[in-house]
Amino acid sequence: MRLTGHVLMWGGFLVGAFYSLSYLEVADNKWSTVPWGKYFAGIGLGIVGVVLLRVTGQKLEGDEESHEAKFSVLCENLSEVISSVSEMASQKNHDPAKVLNQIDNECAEPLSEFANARQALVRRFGMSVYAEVMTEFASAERYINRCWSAAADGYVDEIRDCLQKADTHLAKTDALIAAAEKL
Amino acid sequence: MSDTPPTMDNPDSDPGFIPIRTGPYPEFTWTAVLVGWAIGALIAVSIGYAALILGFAIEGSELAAILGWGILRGVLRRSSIVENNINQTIASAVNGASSGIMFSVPALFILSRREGLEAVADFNVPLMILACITGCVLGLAFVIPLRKQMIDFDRLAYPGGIAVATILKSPGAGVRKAVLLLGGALLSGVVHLLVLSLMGEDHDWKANSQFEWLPEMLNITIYLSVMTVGVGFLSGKGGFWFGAGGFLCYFLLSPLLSQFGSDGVAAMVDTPDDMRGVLYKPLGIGMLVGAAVGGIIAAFPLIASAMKAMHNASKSSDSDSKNDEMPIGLLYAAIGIGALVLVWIAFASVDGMTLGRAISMALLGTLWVWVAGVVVAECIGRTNWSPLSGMTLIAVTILIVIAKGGLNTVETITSSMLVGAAICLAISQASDMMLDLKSGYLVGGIPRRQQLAQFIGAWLGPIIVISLMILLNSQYEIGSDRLPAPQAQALASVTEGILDNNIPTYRYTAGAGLGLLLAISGLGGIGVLIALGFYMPFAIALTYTIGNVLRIASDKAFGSKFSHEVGIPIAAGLIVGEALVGVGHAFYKVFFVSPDETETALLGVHFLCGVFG
Repeated sequence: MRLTGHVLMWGGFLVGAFYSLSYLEVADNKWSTVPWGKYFAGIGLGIVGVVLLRVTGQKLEGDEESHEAKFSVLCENLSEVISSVSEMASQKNHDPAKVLNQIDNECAEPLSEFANARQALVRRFGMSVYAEVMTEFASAERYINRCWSAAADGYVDEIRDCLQKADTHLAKTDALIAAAEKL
Repeated sequence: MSDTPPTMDNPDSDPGFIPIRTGPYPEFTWTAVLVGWAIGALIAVSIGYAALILGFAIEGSELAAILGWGILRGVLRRSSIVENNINQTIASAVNGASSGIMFSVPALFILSRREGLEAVADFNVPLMILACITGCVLGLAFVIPLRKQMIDFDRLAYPGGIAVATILKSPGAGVRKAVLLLGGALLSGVVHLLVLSLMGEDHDWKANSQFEWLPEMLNITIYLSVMTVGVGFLSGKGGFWFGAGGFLCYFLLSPLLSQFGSDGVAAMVDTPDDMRGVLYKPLGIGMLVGAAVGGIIAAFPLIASAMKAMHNASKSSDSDSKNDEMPIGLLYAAIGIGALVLVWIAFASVDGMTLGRAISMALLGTLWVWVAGVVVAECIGRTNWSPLSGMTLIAVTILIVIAKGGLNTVETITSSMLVGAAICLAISQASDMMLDLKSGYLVGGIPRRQQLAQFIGAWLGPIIVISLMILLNSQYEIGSDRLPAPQAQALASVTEGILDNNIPTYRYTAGAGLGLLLAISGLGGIGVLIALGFYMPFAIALTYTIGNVLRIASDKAFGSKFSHEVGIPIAAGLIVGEALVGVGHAFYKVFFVSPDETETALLGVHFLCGVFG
């Protein structure tokens, strides 16, 4: 079904593109350059394909496992970042070089993996929850990036401030996912 | 983790020692603003002048970041990555005027040399500057609310933004990454120098000519630019469909058209440049518009969520979220006031303008700024290329169609170009803002401060670049052999075509339908990317695809960490090296190859020194 959707959409697109391009400009009647009947037949075929893709996209059972796996990856990586940032935020004094290393070694990859698996949120909870979660996650990531910059420049007050803010945003990210799971 | 960090007293005890500093982290400072204005003015004059001769403008963010790094850290002994980020944001905002203005305004001078059109050069200069500044404000006010959707939610790559962030972060990234960045820059710079010395401005290696068995229609041409490979690497698999669009054109449609197309088209397929100019590019422009409109519809829930988040942040008692984003109400006000000012500008542009026509031009222009802003923000986010010329072309088409109903030819051109220049600047600022916001995200800049910095820089560019342009035109005619202004020549030709009703509107329309179809498919972003594959030269798409394939292979073989640790610094270096050699080459050509023009450039500098004391 999904393959049929792809074939129809791309076939329709190609038919439409072909007829859009198959004639040079007709000087006395420019709009007749494109054979619109055949063009719209292609577009129509493409629309049928898009509808099939949309319908099968919602019902796709085979992908359920991979989405579940992606969601687990996402949760695991979020936990890793939360644990690392919480640990750093709980320190009283910060050695900038160590913070820099810890962010590079413990946060960068889980943050990237979380982002790569983010579509699992759309699939599981829908666009609205996705937007809320990503708002908090992106804020947390930005503060971790800011903490990295502040650490590279040695500003310890800023490091502390950023770690606390990142920690708060990560906790909110986690809470939003947990709340969405309960619904 | 140790509770007793090293201090300023023992800096040599540890090679990885970072001096401890207390107090607020410098970000939006007067130093950053003043240095940003100075670097921006320098880059805008230089790149603007070079653009009039060479025909292309250069994105100034990388150059601004490197100059800022040298001045802020080296000369002024400042020590803040995010402060340099504000500096480069301001500098590139000033420079944003050079690409926007040099593509549009000089067309008026060029058209004024046609018989009967002499009066179009007598446009109101302060009004033109105001129009350009208004365009900057509109472009920024429309694109800022998209930050959340495109950077936070869709996480578009913005390869140029990654390159700038890599430069900004280099003081703390360690020796290894700095070596990789410099190595990439050196490789790219040397290759670019070799290409320039061996092939001149033509960077295309036509593989077809080497392998005669390859059909000409396949257009296998490599754009000899390792920077483009770097951009493809940074875009990763997200940019794959851009190359696919090019392959669709030359590997599928061209062969089909050679067999089943009309005689005229079948005879043309073996000249790929003509195929692009006559068929693929106009269809690509239409597809870009259709895909953008479809994209807005498809992404509406996310856009609505982003807007809702901004509204909530404005009302929130949480000072963090409130201070992170520019108040949405302020942006609405900027759009409203900008549109009203644009109405007044259109009305005051020529004597014969009626209020109704001015309102139509300004409102459609404002609406187009939004659509085009979405298009360029997405294109530059996914591929690093902005279809500025295509979007401006459509803007000018719309404006001329409205204006020519009741105005004479001179008035039509003058009023359309005035409002069109505003739109061109808006699009240019929108793409620069999104690139800078991505850099800011990666270094942890506060978006609100960066957005303010962009506004603070944007107004200066039009004043500098238009002053420079008028001076140059009075000394050496723009459009002459000394200052050919190739981009503006192209716009002038197109403008004449529009006035003669000689534009392929039917192909734009057909393209829009196709773009819309892809955009509603639910396959994220393919509409805009495939459209860009139709619009851009295939050589660039092909070389870009090499970068995509390298990234996919690297991720598969060595994991994403390797790409982040090794691949990204090298790829960023590839962008930086070629950009710097490109700027150097432009200066070399201007100052050493064409001695006459040196005098012109110096006159420009003296003039600006006079204007700004």
